[in-house]
Amino acid sequence: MLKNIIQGIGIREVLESAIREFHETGPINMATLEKLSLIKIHYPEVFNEYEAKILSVMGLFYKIAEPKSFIESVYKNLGDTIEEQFGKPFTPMQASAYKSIVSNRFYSFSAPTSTGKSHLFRDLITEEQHDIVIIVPSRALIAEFYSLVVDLVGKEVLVLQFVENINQHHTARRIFIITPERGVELFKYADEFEVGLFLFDEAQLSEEPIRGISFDAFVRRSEKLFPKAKKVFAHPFVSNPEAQLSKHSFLENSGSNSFKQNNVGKVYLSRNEDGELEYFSPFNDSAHVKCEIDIVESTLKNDGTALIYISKSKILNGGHIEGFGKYIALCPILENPPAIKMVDELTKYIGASEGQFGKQSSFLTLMERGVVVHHGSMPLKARLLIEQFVRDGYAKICFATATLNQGINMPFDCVWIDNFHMMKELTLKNLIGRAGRTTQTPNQFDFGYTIINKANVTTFRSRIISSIELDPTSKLDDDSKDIPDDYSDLITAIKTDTFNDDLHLTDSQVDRLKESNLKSDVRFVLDKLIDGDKAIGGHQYYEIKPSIRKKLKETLKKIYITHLKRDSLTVQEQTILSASIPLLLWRVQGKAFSETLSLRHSYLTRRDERRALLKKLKQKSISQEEYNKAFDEIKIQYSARAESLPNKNARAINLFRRGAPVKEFDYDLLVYDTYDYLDKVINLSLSDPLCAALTIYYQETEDVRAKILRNFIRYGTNNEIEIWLLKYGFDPEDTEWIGLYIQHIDEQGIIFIDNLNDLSEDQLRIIERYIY
Amino acid sequence: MNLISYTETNMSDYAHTATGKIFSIAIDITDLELRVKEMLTVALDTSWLQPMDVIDRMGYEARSKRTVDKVTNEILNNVETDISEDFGEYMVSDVAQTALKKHFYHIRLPLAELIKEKISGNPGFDFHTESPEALVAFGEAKYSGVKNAHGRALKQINEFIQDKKDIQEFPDIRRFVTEAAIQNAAAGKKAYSAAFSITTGDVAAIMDNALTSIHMKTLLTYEAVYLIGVKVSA
Repeated sequence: MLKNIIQGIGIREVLESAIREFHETGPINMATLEKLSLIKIHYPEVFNEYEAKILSVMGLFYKIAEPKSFIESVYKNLGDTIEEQFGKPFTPMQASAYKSIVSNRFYSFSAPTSTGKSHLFRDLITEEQHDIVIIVPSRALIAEFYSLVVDLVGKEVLVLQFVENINQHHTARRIFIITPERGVELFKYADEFEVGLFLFDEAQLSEEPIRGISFDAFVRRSEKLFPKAKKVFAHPFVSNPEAQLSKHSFLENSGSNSFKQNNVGKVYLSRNEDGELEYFSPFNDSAHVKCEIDIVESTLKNDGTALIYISKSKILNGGHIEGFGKYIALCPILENPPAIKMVDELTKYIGASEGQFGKQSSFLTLMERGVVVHHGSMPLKARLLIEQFVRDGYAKICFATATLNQGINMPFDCVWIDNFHMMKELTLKNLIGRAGRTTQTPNQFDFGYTIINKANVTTFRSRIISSIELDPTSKLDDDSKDIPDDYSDLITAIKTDTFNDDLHLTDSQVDRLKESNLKSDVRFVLDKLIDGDKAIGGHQYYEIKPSIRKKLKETLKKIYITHLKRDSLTVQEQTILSASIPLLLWRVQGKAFSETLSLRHSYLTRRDERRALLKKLKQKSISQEEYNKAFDEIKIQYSARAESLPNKNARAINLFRRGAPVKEFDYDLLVYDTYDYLDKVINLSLSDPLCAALTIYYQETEDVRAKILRNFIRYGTNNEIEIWLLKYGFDPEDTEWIGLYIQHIDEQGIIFIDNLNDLSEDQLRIIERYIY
Repeated sequence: MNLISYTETNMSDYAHTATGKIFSIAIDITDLELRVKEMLTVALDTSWLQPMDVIDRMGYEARSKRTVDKVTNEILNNVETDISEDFGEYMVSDVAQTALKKHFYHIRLPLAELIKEKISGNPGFDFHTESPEALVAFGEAKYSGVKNAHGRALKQINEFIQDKKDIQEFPDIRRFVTEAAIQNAAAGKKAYSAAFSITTGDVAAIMDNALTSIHMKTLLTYEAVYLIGVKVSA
């Protein structure tokens, strides 16, 4: 089959029968789309004769220009009819889903990547009259939705990435974009909010072992407390979306659809170790056909883009630069001012510097050429900036791990799957879904390339054709045998509805904190860390006697451990916890991310030792040769790589090679690891139990210092205005300067001072949503 | 549609050894607009959008009016565009099958469900019928708004025979025809139908041209040839 098509044999017949097939069944057959793409690649002129007809029968009305054949007229009329009926230029899939959502209270559907789900959501969001809650699996997706939503609605609509009842004076309705974990906050406001729509995007989250339980629990509670609201579940590739409804007995007034139509064609290539490419079809046994050109190279040269799916460890050890240098070299240094501005912003955020020792960032150097790196340890703010950079069209190559796949909707001309390890079917389908950018260009059939390693062809084949099914029973109703010990509290609490929404812990964990009599421990911490109504500064901290500092750390660890079911941590867990305590304290002192990085950089690269050595050289007490030798012997400090806690399997691996000299210091690794500490260890592991212990202590003693420290841990500040600003959704890095322009702020709204003249355009843009 | 003329000719008039017959009929179409409308309805009914339940029929019909007017005007005024040609070919094919059924008692075979074939341009024969004598008739339809199309239809039939398209299609046809027709076809006993549009006024002359066309020569070895001329008058 492949060979014939590539040799041009019988291609008109293929084109004609594809038109007939699509007319009858829609563009659901991936094999047909593959053939069409191959013809377009090899015989673009022949393909062009049929292109408009093909797009017509695919239902891509927005691509049909003036009809030139009878069938194009028919589909033009069908498209116009849909547009007239729905008031929007929907594709058939969008129209069908929209109709079902309007007429049902529960609706669950699935549709492949790049078929316009977000367009549909856009319409739902603008039309809804009441509050909306959008549930997504990751913070990156929250951010993506956020930027979509704020552009859609006016200032009278409050859009937040967490649940707060603020800006009440100006708010007509609210849109919350949250993860199910953040969702518990919502139920506190069951009497105040009038939710009209719950939109569960990427709802296959329900299948994940732990998070799936939180997700399903959220779904059930949302129905119990907001029974009038519509509930819509969306998935990328699921054959039985109805399971999402039946498992909660959402049967009446419900509908579901599994849409299989694709808007983009794909071709598949395998690559052997010598880099030779061959076309293959995952849908039949056609012999492979050699591809004479380097597709990635030609894509990049033709101003196209490539996604390279790669393991995080390969990125961390520079494998992406070594293995793909040839392609990186094809990307010229960017000259576009907005792109350069983004690179500069990121440079500033992470405090990277070309001139300073050990502060060169390789991902920034790559970004200057339009080559980006994207993975879960990339600081969220950096990740968002990089995603924007890609969406704005500045990125030519994107090296990404599974994090990108968690629903960030960025298509590329070419997707190269270098890492096939632990490849799940859904991940694979999502990846392939990214291949081929959907354009609005009239009369243009879009397609993309998927490249895999030759060794993976068989596995690839079996996974691409297998269907993905949701479990028809909820994990809430399952026996929880496979749940790791450390999660059993949470699971029991969710199942028995004994989660403390205020303290963000389970009732059992709160009881442990209460019963363990931590009063003297908490008081000790407060005595040392809080001075009046402020947290002590860095200098004061280092003035504390080392033995007391050690005790302080031990006490914080003890408070943390108390909430757990077990009474001790593994050595590795303790190592990670110890490493996180200075970062926690820096946070309490309100350090910015770049400052935190700088402090760790000094410590890990033994700045004092380096300086002392330099001083000796300058004073000529040692020769240059002696200096060089001594410098080479300075080793990077040991530091355990961050991992979430509790985790009995944590390994506490050294961030750098054991005994590595400081001149091998890798700034990118520092950035990633520091972010992981702040995010995975402090925010997600330490913050809740420590804050709960402080709240309990405050309730028992009325010692306001406990509230102050809690604010520092939770918000990084005790400044009331800054805390309000955080609740209004401003970035922690911006609250300080915004605070200077606030006349008054509370749950009713923000009153800015009259004179905002000295603010820059960028600054004004940041606060603009709340200026009325 | 009205029958304008009907003639039967023995093939032996043109080739001594031939035993088959040539049937020539000319049809006049007087309900063009209705036919265009019908085809647009058929297009919706056979499309994947129909079961999705997103098309408001009344709305579609209203939207289609422009297309109906355009195609009708073009055909009546002998203006040839891609759109009118697409429709014209469908129309000629449909009229031919209806005529074969009405005047020769053929059975229409669902194999080449018209719309699906015509909208895409079909790489094989346009339509198939079975005659009361248990012969499968392979049909080809050609339309032109500006010139008579009999030559193109007959030429195409010859090319398809040469490419063995009829033999290739046979496995699909078997499912729809009688056992006797299968046997006949296996023995090489077949019929062909050439349906074509007529644009000039002198219908009789055109039918005669078709009968004496050089492309007829090779067809005289078969059991029957149906020449169906289609003229549009309203």
